[in-house]
Amino acid sequence: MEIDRRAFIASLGGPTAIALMTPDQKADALEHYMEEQLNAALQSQAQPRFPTMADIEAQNLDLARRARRGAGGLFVPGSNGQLKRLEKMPDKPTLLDFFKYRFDPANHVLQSANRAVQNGMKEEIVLACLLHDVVLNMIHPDHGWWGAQLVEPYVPEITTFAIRYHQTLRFYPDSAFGYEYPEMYFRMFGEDYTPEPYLQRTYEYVRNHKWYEHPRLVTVNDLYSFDANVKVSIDPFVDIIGRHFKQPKEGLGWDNTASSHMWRTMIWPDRPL
Amino acid sequence: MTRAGRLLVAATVAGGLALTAVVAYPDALARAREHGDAAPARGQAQATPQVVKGLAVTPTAVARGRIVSLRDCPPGANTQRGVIRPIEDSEFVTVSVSIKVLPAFVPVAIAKPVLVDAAGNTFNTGQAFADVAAEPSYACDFSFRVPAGTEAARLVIDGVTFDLTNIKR
Repeated sequence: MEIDRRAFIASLGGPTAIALMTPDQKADALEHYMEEQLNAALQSQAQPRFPTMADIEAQNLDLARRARRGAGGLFVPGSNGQLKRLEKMPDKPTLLDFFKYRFDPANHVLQSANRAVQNGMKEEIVLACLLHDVVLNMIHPDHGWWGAQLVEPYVPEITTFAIRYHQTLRFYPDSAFGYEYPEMYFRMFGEDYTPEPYLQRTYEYVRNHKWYEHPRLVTVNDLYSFDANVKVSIDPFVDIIGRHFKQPKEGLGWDNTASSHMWRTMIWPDRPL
Repeated sequence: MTRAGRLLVAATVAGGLALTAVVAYPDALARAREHGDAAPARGQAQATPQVVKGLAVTPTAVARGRIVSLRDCPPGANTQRGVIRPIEDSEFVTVSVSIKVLPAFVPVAIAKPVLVDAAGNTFNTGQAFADVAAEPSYACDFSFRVPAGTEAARLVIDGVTFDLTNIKR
């Protein structure tokens, strides 16, 4: 146990007060102080109780909740209890426009891409990290597949592969890459959760694929990019987007691809039909 | 703690010397172990510091657990923690290190630590060194997923090997 000498002395009233104490009183005071510090440390380390799958299923029966868990961020109130204020998008929106007008603050994916750059990953993987969770603004369940589908017409195949399968690999720790099972999943899925058969089959497929490392690297950068104190700008990634994201001249949503409707949904989240 | 020991510690603190106290609260420490938290107890036997690219690095403790923080080094504010699921026959070994930034340090990338067991098997961590000169000195915990019961023998940081066998568990 490390003792903060200044804090300890201050807790006793300062050096003058200590000078008036006998050695025994000092020893008693120190022991008392250390016991308090240790108890505080142990309380902060107390093992949390995680929900079970049954607990979560019971919560899902609550029909009075404000939204179902799978609703995208554009459609549900944020932590302040309010919906996100949305500005009108440009007539021919680019990916950068979506980051500015719909995905902002996008701190997690920016951190993730930033970490990928720091770790020297290839640009296609940096792009995958930058885009891997943006579809959560629209929908949550199976966000790997949705997210890959969203960008598939515009990015390299390796990037799509990495985004599609990062979701599955999140459930499978891999010590070779330093990827751990996140405690957050105990809270989201239940402590006793095991991936459904379709995820197990997908995992086996990806694990044996020559591109396995690409979605795996997305998961590694994913896991280590939840630092509220790290703020990253989109600016360092503009060139990578320019090199690897095929921006349609009509604007995202208006180029008649297989995912144009998904971009339009994010342009118009209040559209009734 | 004996009266003499208590007086020695009190005198040391009051005398203004830097102190890492050895605490004798066996009940409390046992409770911590029951929680399975891999945050190690401090003040155990320490290895000799070695220099890694301008950083004086000293392993200070080794612990085992099932839930670990995934913060980088020096510790940031990453909210994510890694867990061992009930179905897994694994555990985390967490190695604590103290680090001092030496005057000769120049900004340079430092590889992630690697844990080595007695048989020579290596184990990786996703935790990384980041902005290592942000503070003059700090402590970090690096966690490694290992098969249950694995004995940590060495820690390797960017080619520099630290013997962990004399560090109390």
